[in-house]
Amino acid sequence: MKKLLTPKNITFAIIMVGMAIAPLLTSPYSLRILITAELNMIFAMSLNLLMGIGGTVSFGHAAFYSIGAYTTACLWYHFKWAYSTSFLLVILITGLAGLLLALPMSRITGRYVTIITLSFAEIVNLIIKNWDKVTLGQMGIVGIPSINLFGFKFTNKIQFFYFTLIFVILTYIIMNWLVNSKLGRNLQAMRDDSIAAEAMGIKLFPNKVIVFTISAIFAGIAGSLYAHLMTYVEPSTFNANLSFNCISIVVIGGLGNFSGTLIGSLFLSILPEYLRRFDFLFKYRMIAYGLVLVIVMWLNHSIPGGKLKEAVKGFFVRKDKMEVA
Amino acid sequence: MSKFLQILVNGISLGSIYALTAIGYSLIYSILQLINMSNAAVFLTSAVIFYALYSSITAGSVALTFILTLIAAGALGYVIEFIAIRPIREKGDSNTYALISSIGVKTILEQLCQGTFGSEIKPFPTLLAGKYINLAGARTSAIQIIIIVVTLVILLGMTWFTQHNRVGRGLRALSQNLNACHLMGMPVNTLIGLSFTVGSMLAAVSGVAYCMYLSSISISVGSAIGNKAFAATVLGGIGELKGAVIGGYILAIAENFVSGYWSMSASNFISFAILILVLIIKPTGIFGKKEQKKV
Amino acid sequence: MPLLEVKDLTIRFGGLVAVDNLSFTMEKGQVVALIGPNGAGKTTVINLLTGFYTPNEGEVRLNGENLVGMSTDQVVEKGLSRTFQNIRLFSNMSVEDNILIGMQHRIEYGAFLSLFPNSKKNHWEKEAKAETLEILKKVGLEDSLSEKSTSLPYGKQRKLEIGRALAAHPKILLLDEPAAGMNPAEKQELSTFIRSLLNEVDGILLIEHDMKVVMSISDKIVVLNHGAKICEGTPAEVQNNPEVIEAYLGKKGGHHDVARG
Repeated sequence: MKKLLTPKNITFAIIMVGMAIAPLLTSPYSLRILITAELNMIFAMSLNLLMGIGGTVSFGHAAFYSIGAYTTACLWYHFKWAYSTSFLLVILITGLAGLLLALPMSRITGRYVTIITLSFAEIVNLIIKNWDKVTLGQMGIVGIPSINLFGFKFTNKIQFFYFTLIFVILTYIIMNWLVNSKLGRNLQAMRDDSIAAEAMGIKLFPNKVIVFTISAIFAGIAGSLYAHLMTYVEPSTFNANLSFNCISIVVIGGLGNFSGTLIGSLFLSILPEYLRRFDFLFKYRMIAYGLVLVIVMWLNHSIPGGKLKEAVKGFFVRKDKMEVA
Repeated sequence: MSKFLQILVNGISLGSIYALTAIGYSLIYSILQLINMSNAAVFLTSAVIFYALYSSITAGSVALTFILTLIAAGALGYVIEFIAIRPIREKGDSNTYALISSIGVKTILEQLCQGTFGSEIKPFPTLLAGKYINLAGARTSAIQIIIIVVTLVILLGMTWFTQHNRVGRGLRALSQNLNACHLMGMPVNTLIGLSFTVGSMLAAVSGVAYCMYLSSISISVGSAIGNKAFAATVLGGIGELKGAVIGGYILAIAENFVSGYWSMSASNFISFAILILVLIIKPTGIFGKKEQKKV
Repeated sequence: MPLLEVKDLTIRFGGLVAVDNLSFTMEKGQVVALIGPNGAGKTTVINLLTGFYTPNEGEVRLNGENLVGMSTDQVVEKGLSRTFQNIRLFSNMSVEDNILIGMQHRIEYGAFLSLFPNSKKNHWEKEAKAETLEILKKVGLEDSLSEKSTSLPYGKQRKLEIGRALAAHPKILLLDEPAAGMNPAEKQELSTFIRSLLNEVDGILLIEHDMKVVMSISDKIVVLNHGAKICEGTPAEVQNNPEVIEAYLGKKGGHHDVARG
């Protein structure tokens, strides 16, 4: 039982309790921001699995988010599918996309992963922009209804909020199960030292494929919820900045630290909205966001004390440099 | 035949712009193994600075505006390194943090440009507007020729600079082994700052050249060219200067041929299709060196 | 049939012949040491045996089965497990997790069952953790179970790495310079420890620079120079072999004793 009461889990519980009572205290406008924060939580936790546990920095995670959003949007637009049915296809298609991206990973090392993931996101975006028949191209798909679960339609944002919160909690719990299992251990071993991991008999490639697939599925779920929240999807939303934003959340929250990711999501979702209030800042509000990134990197502090430096050193620093140091 | 030539000329002039920006990525990557995301934002910022100066202080003088823009871009590059990269580098942190920091810089610069410049498309001054030269049937605008010539001069200059100059040798040494350079007492920080300056100035040249080529400027030029230039860098083999240049030309020429003989929307795909193909066949890019697995 | 039979093993890197027609055998219950000057190709041999490199020619037979062409994870399953010259522990993981990684190929539940609690997962996790404790007791680290691996002192890190290799239940343990960086007292203790490992595994292949350690625990010594075997025999035979003395000390070496190492 003592394993459950870790500082991370306690942080998680506090945030969740705070979130659960939040709708009682906030305006509809703030609630919308909190739902965005929830989506970011799921999205960023999926990336943290890949980055913090799997040791692979994906600079194209927005691709899976957009695939999830477009899958549910297109299924509604063309076939009028309800969320409860399209959800399964969201999982299937984003999972396959994750699998596809993982395939070249067997041939490349650390830094080329950056490049491949960036290109992958760019290609997915180009496809969405140009596949007019299915995605309606630049126009985007508008008028997506709120979530419909087996005939039960969500009529207000509070229902949506709690529904998404359930996903956040599930994601957190599944991530923790995963980390404390054989798969999670193997992934962490590969992250720390891929050669030693191989020498211990870990098959690198299947593990990479699996972690990419799982990560893609959760990102896709977040994206599918996004489509129903916003009621529209358009290609320009899912640009590289969305991926960068997600990376920032993960890094600020601490690599491999899922409760930190929750705090990072709240922080980076609320900050830009908060800055909207100042008229003179409105035009430049994203600058503060950029500054936060630089300063956090500069201080090398993740908010809840995740030990950033050590967590990535083994994987990212070039081997020849490590030997000198 | 004349259509072929026309497309080739267009491809080469666009390729020159890709190549110049790509060198900026490659140069810094070769030294720090850092993908400097702020490079595309410097491209945009320089064009905006040029536009702002030209329409106010230095109205009318392209040469003077250009020189001032270059100086500003160079200084900007140094400042970016000094503020956003150096503190992280000196702590010995992983490149991922520097990379994220450079994304922060990119966000700041893009937002500054958007805030001051606005989001509409505006006319951009160009050189010898409306002048065309007929090259065996290919209608070539004067600015295209200027871009190609300037790029050639810069490339030759860069080659000379890295091969026969003390500073260039220093930069090459840095790209071989940063730690050894530190231990040898080389002014590593100054040299790295300098490489950011050079990279930014190249981005400035290509930013201004691109807007002159379009004779218009909008806030989206940075990301459009930035992505392509990055793709070019990877295609040629990141960290290899000649790779960046050749990658730039390959992509631009391929794009122009696809849009000329096939369709515009397909040309958007072709760069990334080529990139994927090369990465599948040779993941380190055309000129990239193979990484040895060390056990 | 010998436990391990290496036959005409050759690998070339470009023009360099890193391992040249190497043959030797290991019987059950033996400690075989591979020695030679720096750059003789000792670590390359281990990389060849464990499937990190594929030899250009030759065979590696474990109980008669040829391992050449197998991937590293297959070789581990067949029963070869190694340590590294410069310790390669999983630095951000606990001591316990490091051992659990060593036995991961014996834990029989897959990726899908990793995602949620189920009886199969619980069963295997319980078994694996119990066994981990036993292994840690053997290498004397049972008190450091939840410590981070890199926070251990150097000597214990070496022990942990050996423990991790043992966790794979190997038939043969491959130790790459286990005594490097240790003081004489630690080396003495390590020698006894290695010898005692023969209760756990069928054979041990040892690469070591420290001649005292090698001479005291080996049943058989294979001497490499420039990738080729120059001599093979018991410690006593090797010590007096003029070719070995020459390889270590050069032609004018005279009567120096290799044992001084």
